[in-house]
Amino acid sequence: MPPIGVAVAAVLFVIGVGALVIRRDLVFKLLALGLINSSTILLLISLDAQRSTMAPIVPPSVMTDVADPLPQALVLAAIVISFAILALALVFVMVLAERYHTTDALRIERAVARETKP
Amino acid sequence: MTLVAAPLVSVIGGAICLMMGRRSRWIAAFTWAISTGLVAYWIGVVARLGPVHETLGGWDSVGISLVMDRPAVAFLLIEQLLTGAVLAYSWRSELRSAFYALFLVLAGAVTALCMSVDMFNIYVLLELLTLTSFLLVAYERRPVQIWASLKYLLLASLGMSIYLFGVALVYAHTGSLGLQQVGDHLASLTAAEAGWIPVAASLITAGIAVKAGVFLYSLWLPAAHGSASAGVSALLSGLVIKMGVLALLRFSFILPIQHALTVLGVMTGLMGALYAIVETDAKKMLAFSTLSQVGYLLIGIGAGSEASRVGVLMYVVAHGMFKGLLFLAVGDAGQRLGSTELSVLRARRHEIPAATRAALLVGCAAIAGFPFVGGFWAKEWLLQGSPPLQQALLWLLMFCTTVVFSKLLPAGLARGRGGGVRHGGIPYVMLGAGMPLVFMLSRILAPGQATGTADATLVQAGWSLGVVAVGTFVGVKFRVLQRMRVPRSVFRIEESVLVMLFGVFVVLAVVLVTSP
Repeated sequence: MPPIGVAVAAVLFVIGVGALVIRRDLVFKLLALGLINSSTILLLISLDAQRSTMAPIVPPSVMTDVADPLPQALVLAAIVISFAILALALVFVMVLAERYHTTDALRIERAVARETKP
Repeated sequence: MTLVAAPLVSVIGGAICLMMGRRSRWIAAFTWAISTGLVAYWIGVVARLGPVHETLGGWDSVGISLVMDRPAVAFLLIEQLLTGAVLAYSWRSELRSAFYALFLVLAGAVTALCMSVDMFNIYVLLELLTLTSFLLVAYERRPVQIWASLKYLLLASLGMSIYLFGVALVYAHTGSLGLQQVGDHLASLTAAEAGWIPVAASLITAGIAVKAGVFLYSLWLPAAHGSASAGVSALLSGLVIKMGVLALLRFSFILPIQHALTVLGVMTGLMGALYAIVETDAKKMLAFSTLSQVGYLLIGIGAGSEASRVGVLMYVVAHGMFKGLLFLAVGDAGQRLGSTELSVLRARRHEIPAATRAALLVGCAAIAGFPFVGGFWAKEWLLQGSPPLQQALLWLLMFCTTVVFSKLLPAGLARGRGGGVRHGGIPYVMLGAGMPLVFMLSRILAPGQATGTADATLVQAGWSLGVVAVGTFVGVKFRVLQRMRVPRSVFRIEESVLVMLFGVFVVLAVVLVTSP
């Protein structure tokens, strides 16, 4: 029986993808991407918590029932990466918004297509 | 010598570029020279002594492990060739230091990825590759580039999340991230315990396929590779997507995805060729042809024999060379003519510099599989290592490629000098001159083995010549093919996301159907 965190992660992922597809606003798309990244982080953490939720900061003698430290290290890397990606993507959305005065993906798509095909 | 030195050199060079500002191109060239020396050293070591393993930080079984083996050597070779050629190509374009810094960090990430055999390390480095190529695509800050790279970032990040889901599944069941340990653990499982493997395999395969330039997954690719500046396109098409292919190659040893890769290979080969045939812009056509060329690689990995893997590695090197050559040559011609439309290139071919025309001709011949140039030698190994069905598919892909490049070929056929090129043709020499020598690679990649006899090679040369002739004839004669209507809306973000998710289920279905 998987822990409830796994189910929540799956639900968050589906919501994120749904928002990524349905919302045309680029800012919402990026929020959706943040949600998707968070869902992977939650998945890693909750799979880890299956064994134990005790922090792995203990002397080696009581190593038996602490949480696995490796997923926590992975999660740190994943959080930083997702932050960097969102920050960069937001800058690009700003540049596009300044030029086209919209953050609507469809309008930008059309405007870019108009500019490239004279 | 430690394996970490090679990627570290590039990244440190990039940091120095940022610090110094001026003279960045000299720092980049110096860094390139050092890492070329390191790669040459490792090629020598691997060719003589076999693979070298290293675990970082002395954490024996739990540490991040690196390996320098034959696949890594092949990918490092093409990395050095392409980065050198792109440096020479952009030598006089007065790029800012930020470009060289990004360029060197990208090279460092690629070098590290070549040696990575740890699932999470592969994830981190693929994301680093995404970020650097994202910035390089948009380097000139044209809106079309910014839009293309934003799409790339969204889709690649989603793909990597899917990959991470698969990795989390694998880690939860096996307790390790090293490919070697995971493989050993999976081999010891009974059928009842292995129910989760198809799900994890499809998530991992689909996630990486987003970065590997596979149709259905990498629908961001035509816009990004088609709009970036010529040098960046050459790097992205020749090198960056190959890192996804390398990851798929490494995963194909431990996960049951051979058949899935064959299916993906056929699909990307044919769909990429279809879109390339109807494309009117030369750069975009090259980008679509990259999607199509990945098909050869995936079919070769899917065939699963030793010879076909050697063929895949040789094709990676050959494709990096001729696709880099073609992107640089089309970029040159586009700069001269002010447009990269195929009709413009053909109509005003006399104005294209003679060296560029020669590069176009060599590139077209090599990509089409013309005897004794570039791709021909790799295809010999691919064909030898494949079952009959895959062989037929490879010939079909070769035919499609020829039809595609019959559109670009006339642009290279003209007389007259047509003016010189700014870079003096050095990148063309770097990428083009080695083309007939690709067959030498098999000495390093498969020592002591040979493909058939000289007669067999001649027979294959005859067949290749025939396919090239028929393909060119069909491409030139049946212009109606180029007016086919194909759906364009799949390249919008929303549709690309949906198609990619559909692709996860495609892989899952194939893995489930073909697993015993």
